[in-house]
Amino acid sequence: LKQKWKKDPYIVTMGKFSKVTNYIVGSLRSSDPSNQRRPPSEMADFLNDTIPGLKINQQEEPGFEVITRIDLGKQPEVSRREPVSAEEWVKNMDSEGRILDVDYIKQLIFKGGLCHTLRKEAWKFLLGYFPWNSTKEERANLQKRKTDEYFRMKLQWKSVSEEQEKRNSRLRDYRSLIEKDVNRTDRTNKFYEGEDNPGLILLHDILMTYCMYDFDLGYVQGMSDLLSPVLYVMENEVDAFWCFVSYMDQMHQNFEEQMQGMKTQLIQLSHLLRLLDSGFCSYLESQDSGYLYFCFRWLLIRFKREFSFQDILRLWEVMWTELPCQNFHLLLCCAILESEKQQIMDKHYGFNEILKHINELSMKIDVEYILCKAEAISMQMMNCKELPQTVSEILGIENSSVTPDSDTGEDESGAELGCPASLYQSISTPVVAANGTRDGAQQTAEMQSLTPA
Amino acid sequence: MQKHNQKEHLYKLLVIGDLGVGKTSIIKRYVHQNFSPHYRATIGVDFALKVLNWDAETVVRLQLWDIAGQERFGNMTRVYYREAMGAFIVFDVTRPATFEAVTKWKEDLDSKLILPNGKPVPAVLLANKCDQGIDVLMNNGIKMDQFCKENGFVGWFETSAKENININEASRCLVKHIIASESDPVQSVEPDIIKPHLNSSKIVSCSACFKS
Repeated sequence: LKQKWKKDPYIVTMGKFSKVTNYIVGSLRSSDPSNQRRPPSEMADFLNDTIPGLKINQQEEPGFEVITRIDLGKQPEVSRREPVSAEEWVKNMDSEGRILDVDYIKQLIFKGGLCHTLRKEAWKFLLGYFPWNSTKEERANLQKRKTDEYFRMKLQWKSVSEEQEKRNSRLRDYRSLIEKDVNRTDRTNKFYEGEDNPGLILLHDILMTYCMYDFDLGYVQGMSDLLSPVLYVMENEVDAFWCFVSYMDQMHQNFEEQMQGMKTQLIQLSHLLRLLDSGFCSYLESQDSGYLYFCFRWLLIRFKREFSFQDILRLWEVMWTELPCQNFHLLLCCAILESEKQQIMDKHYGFNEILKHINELSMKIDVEYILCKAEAISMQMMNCKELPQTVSEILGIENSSVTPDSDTGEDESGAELGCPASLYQSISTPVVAANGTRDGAQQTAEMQSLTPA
Repeated sequence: MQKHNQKEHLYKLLVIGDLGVGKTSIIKRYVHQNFSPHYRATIGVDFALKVLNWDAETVVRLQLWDIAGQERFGNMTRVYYREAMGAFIVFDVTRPATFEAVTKWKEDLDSKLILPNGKPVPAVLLANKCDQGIDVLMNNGIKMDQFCKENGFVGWFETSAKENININEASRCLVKHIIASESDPVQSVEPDIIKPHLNSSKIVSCSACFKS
């Protein structure tokens, strides 16, 4: 702390001070308590205290803090459309079975999801098991190859004798974990209910085979939650396995020993939330909840436990379009948190109550409402002229040269989602207070900044 | 409902232990009086409330914190240890490895949580799934008492969430110790710690509660 103080006396002093009383910091910095901000370095401290080796402060220039208060403007109205119909899907395919306009179809899926009968086919594309530009014949060949590969790996664990397994503790542990979790995954769902449901055996076999596919990772709790809806939709062991493999490619880091994926996401989420609602962030910090651990379950298994099974199918297919920006799932977190902010702050929830409240939202969130809200937030951010560099990196919005190519289809909502190039060009370097005086923090202007001492 | 001179206590209790030992089932049994073998694996942390009419003047509200057993979640779930007043550490009597992990859980608990008076939080050890009959560890009550003493547990119980065995008793034992340590914060809680009873080899009892 002493060293940090030497480097950044203002930030460190105020940061630590604000741990004591957030209200006073707020009133020192500005008369409006909702304007109170804490430097990211303070946040970093907090996280580092709890997770060893965690780094949040990825500033390019060390010791240089630019704190900006950015007006995101009003949240736009967003509407959603009907799920993509079988007719729409087929219409967008050529005679050999290639998808004609990938961006267009993704746009439609993003805006409305898929009707259930289409999922079995469309998810294979969305998850990356089928290349979008492949022909029907190519896909049939691919499936044949992948079937062989699957059964080769399945045979590997199937053929391990009891004696061999006694000498293989890792395999034994994976098997025991999988058996435990298969028994308690979505057992109220028709596909997995009852004692001898074939769905349970498939779930088990696919997870065991995944251990052979990626023995280093093996099985970690939560993975059965990710597989269950995929298997339910595919109704086929091999297809479900390869779709699961693709999904795990996205989610892998969440489950690794060091849980790097979780740490990164929590940090990214805090950046986004800070931009969206710094007042709420400060409140959470004042309740020692600034590291957002209460979002753990949301992030680890992509909201699987927060929505009904049917809603999860919708939510996931929308996320898999990778529209309208990178890390859309983090904007979903923001949307939910923003919806709950009022209650959390009005009732002055503390550390324990915040977690309890967030946990109890499970099955109570309206999926369409929250998708609209998250999309609206994405538009706010993409239209923001002074989007901080960290945020544009998280959302994958590159400045200048990007042109909106996602609205080539007839879907009129597409135009709203793309962001005109001119907006990106106008993203300017944040205004830095003239000479780095302490007063910088108290400027009444919209832009506030702190410079090195 | 509430009488005029009734005292109310709110205690945060942790329920920890290896994965699949039955932490969630114990809590559901205790709070909702039911059992299912199909409770979902806990991801992160869950939360339940139980109200006890302790005696004529006292109501005790228990916040039961169900902490996921998966080891690698530990970094992120252990922040929820804070402010806890007591803990159940659970193992599965049919799986020796889960018993071996008990000391690890206890050490972890004590390293992260200390009562205001500087003592470790009272912890009760639960030997769960005792209905399953494959009881390789419990054949000697004296050994368990010894284990509890050595590892600083205030008591231990053989429990079954399925058959509803000893869960209420275990909770009363823990609450009793919490109240004792709270009402006399300056004095050491040592006197309440179990003493090995040579005649307590019969199972199904908390040796500490035996005395009262």
